[in-house]
Amino acid sequence: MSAVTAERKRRTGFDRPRFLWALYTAMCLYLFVPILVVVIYSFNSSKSLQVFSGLSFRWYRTFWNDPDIKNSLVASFEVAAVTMVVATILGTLLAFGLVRARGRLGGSANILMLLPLITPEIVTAVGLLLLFGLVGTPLSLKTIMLGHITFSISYVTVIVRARLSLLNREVEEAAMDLGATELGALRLVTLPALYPAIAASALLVFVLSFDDFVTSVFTSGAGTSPLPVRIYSLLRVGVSPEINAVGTTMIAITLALALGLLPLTLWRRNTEPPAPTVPAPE
Amino acid sequence: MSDADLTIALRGVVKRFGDQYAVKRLDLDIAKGSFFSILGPSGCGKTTTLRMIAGFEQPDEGHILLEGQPVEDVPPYRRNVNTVFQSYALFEHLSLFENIAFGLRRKKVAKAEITRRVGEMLELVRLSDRAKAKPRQLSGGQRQRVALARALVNLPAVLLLDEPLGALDLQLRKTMQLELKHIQREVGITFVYVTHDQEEALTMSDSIAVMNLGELQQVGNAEDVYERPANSFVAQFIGISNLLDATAERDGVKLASGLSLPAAVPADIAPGSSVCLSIRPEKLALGPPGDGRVSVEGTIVESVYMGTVTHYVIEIAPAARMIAVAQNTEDASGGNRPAVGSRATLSWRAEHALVLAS
Repeated sequence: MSAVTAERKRRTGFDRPRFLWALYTAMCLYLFVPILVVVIYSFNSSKSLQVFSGLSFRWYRTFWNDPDIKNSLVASFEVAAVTMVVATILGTLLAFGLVRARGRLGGSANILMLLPLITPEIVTAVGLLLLFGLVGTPLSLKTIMLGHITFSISYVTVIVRARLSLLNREVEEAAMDLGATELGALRLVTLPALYPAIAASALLVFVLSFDDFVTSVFTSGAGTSPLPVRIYSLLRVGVSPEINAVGTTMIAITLALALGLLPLTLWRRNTEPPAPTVPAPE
Repeated sequence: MSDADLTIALRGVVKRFGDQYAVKRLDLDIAKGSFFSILGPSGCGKTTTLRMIAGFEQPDEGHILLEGQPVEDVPPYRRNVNTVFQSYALFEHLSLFENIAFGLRRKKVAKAEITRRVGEMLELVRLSDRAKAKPRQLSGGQRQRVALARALVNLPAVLLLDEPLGALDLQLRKTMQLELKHIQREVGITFVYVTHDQEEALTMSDSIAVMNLGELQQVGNAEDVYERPANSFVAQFIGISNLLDATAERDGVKLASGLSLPAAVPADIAPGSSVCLSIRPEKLALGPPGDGRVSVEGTIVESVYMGTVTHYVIEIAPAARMIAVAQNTEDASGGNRPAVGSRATLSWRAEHALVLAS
């Protein structure tokens, strides 16, 4: 009897180790405490970064009245949005090419596509700077966009390709069999099946571009620089609590984007037709 | 049969992949409203044939006539043909209703009619209560029925089915075989059914085309291909057959061991050419031969009890073994069955021994 109990106890212990919650808490603290500190101190009424002296929106007001920071935020948005759209389209097309195209080009294109993922970003960034200098393109937001698109395409391709290669070709054939043209099959069957992968990669690219620093520093010109670059230049002058407010705003934007995709999936689930009214058998 | 009674006619169709022949000079006539099976081992060209009819592959030579019209240059979406795919290929992001309505929506059928026809189809495949479900919420058999309904709702001239029951378990397969046959009779559409399962083909088909290595071996109804196989491949592929290598004589064959057996030799087989003697196991009887039966002596080397029947392997000459199937009737229970190692007499009627070119 006691042997059975002992065994049962041991098995429960194995299923759910007691230290699991401790590990979980430690991990959460490690991940979120730094962010939490930024968020809390962004509401601090004093200039101190050590003492919390009262709730205030003072630093948000400063941030809001600082045209440089605001312009940088807008610039970051612009760069991230353009990068997202262009990289998602190009990356998806490349994924189609890699999965569907036959021939020898596929193998080398596959490796070339992965190169940006393993090249240190600093190398790509310096390369871009030299290239733009060589061509004689003045550095601006456009050059930043080009730089961001360059490395973002690979992320889109890797994600979309994985999904596309799992897709059964027979599903497209079925659509054509049922009267859809090649383009119709792509629109009605293939793209809806790829939609989660495309949406996920678009979101990832937006976030990557939004907080990219290295490429942005090397490819930004004299005009407005993106937010991460702007924050870094502020830090050189001295740490102002305003940065906490900026950081908190960035976190809020990123979170809102991630949550923004959620209703989109819910909406898709609810767009099914009403149940057909089946005539009752007589 | 006039061409008007044909839904599909294949005329000298050839399909090559690289330098390999997938289909070699295939001629096939498929009658309107029939359940037509294309049967053969994997790689025999049956799926390629189906895909050419559907329009997913173009023949390198020859013509495919659909209701009398050549369709080689017609893309799949403009052929009056629908397919049930082996993998079902359901649209996972759409509900059952939308899956089935897909073809009708492409044809811009009126909304009310779509609702009515899809409703009827759901009724036919007994899934009316699952109209809003997504394909992944269904069992294998239900998915299979959705694939069928999605194709049938378009009322095509021909329904093509590519091993549609392959992924189902045995029990469900048996049920679905009967159901498919029932649905085909009800809707009256020509079914072209590709399978490697000879039992499935025999159970359901009005006509069976047996293929091997890209070539047509025989076309006929179930009884034709089983009782009167055109060659040794068909005899071997459909059911169990005793095939003995032999040499043709004037009115019989001679086995390698020197044993002569009487059999009707077809006119096109010259005496002295090497042939196969084919006898179905159930046509063989153990025990004293009746009048007018061919009989040989042999030794029972193996006996396999299988419930309703027992299979006996009998050696009638060195390297010449035959399988005989005996019913386990009340007289043949327990100790009454012949034992392994004992001598036995095998007999059959001469017309059941077929001489086939090998």
